[in-house]
Amino acid sequence: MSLLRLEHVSKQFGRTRVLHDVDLCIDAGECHAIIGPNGAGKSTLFHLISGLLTPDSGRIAFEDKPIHGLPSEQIARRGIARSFQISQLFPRLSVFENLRCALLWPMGYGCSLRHLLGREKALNARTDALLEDLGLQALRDVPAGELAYAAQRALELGLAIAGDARLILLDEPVAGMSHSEAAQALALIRRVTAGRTLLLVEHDMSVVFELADRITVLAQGEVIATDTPARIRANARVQQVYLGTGAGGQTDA
Amino acid sequence: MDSRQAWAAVAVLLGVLPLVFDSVLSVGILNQMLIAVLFALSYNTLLGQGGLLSFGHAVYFGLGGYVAAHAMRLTELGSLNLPLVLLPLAGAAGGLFAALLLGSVSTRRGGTAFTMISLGLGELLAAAALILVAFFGGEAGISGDRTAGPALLGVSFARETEVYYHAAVWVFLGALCLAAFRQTPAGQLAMAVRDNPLRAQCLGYSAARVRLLCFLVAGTFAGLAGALFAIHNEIITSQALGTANAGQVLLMCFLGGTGYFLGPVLGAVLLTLCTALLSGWTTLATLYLGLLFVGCVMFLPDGLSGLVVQLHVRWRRGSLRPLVPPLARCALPTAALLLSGVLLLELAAREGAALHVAGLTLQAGNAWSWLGLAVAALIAAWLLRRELPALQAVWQQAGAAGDRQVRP
Repeated sequence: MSLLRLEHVSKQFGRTRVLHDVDLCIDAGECHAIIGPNGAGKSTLFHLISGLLTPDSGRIAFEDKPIHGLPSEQIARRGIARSFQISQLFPRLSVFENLRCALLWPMGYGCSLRHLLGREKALNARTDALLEDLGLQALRDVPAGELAYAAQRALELGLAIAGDARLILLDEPVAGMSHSEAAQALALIRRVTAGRTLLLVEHDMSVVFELADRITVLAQGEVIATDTPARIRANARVQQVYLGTGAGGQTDA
Repeated sequence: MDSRQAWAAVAVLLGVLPLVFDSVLSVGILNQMLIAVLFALSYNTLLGQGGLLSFGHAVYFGLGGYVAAHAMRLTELGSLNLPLVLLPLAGAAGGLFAALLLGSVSTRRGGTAFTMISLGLGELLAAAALILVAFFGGEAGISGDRTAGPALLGVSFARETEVYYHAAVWVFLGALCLAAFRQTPAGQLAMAVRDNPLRAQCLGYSAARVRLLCFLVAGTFAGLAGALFAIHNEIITSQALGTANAGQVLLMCFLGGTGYFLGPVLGAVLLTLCTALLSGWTTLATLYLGLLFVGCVMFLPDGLSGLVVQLHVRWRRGSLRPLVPPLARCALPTAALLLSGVLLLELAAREGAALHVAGLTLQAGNAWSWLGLAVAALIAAWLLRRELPALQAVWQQAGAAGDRQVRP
């Protein structure tokens, strides 16, 4: 069963065609990676799915209900969570408070005026459990704005996986990390996203081929292939795009 | 000391203050302080907690005040029989209603858009107050007699101390509510939206709705403060709605620091005291407060509460002692610069009349008076410029020593 389905989705910025007639189908439970050269439209695709942008044409359906045109908070409430390429944290709140904010909606508090956070034992316990999962207990009370890069990325991931979202979009989760940091982050992603559906944009091919069940290759705003990692590796058009012999492709992997 | 004990201590302090400062004048100033504290706390709910810079917060203070003044007047005329202790609730309702009406438009966007709309609405209401005479009473404003209502336990609120204790209870409750608001999911999300509205939206919260909620809370308690103001003065005019009043509360929050709950309290107390004391001594009170604001923004971006926290951090690390020598070397030129600057301004403000300072007679018509002060100011400024870098270096060093620096 497909959890997320994009049909004929197009997006232009002024005269620049960023995405053109994109079809994409994400199955429940799979880890789906999107790769492609810089400027292929990967980030725009994420913004369209998460509601930060609206498509010019085409439809996006989540669990068979259309979500294109909905504001991003509505889409988040339906069960799509995301991380950002550049960490989007609450810099003046502590690590603990950051994660607790991510849990307020899933745990049914919303914008309540009737609860005092200090007294909500279940909420605080779940936040602490999440902190432990992410390996951030030692930084519990540090403002997020003062974290080192790797810890910021871990928290960014934590905000995305905190709730009960059925689809998690990860935008370059290991970008800018050293090899050992990336390996740790990868293990963390595997652990905390087990059993959930993952859509991933990543430049690091070793990460993509290790995590992904299926890969979609995007180039110049168009889908050129969707397949298993092994077949993608062997695909001639994909090689063309990545070797830079294709129309306007550039090596970037 | 946990928070419960701290609140108990505040309650005791509020009870004791008018017994210590018991003249009618000082109880009056205490009253003004209380009102300013609640107004500033409500403003900081917007600014510090919600990250919304408003130039029109006086609107909600003023409208709350008008509602209370009308209720007071109707009670005096006999068509209403509202006990005085309920008037603040009427004011809070007025503030809430106005915030709901205007905020549903202005809080759709944060940042500069919100600020400009608040400025526009502030000007609009201040202008309307002079035109819509039926509600705002024109230039005369709305006045009433607070003693007209039914007496409560034999208290008729004729005396200043009775008004003080009445205000103290309401301000205490208001502060308690605003402190509690910071602990609610909505209050926490207001800070989250302040820090990163995009992320908050991607977690499922409507940034506009969170901002509106924060705005409503701020408006309600501004209205409550406005009602206390109307009760204290038994009159309210369009000045209470104006941008000057809105600027005053901004200054209080900046001076005290927006990063801590107690910051605006500190700012409100100090500024009320300064205004009350300065107005007796000089005609330039507003100018000095403006200069204070500039100095505060330049040298204390986190306000006095930020400074207190920084000092506390250094004290705990035992790195306060090295600060003493450079501080001592800066003290004299600073004092000299302030004194000569103040004298120059005062000399400029009074034509003809002589200033007598420490056996010297300064006159606006005498070139030597101007020259002497200018030279003194220049020398002091030069000395301060020479000594200040050393102080800054030691301050930075004291802060950097040890573990991570504490952010305000």
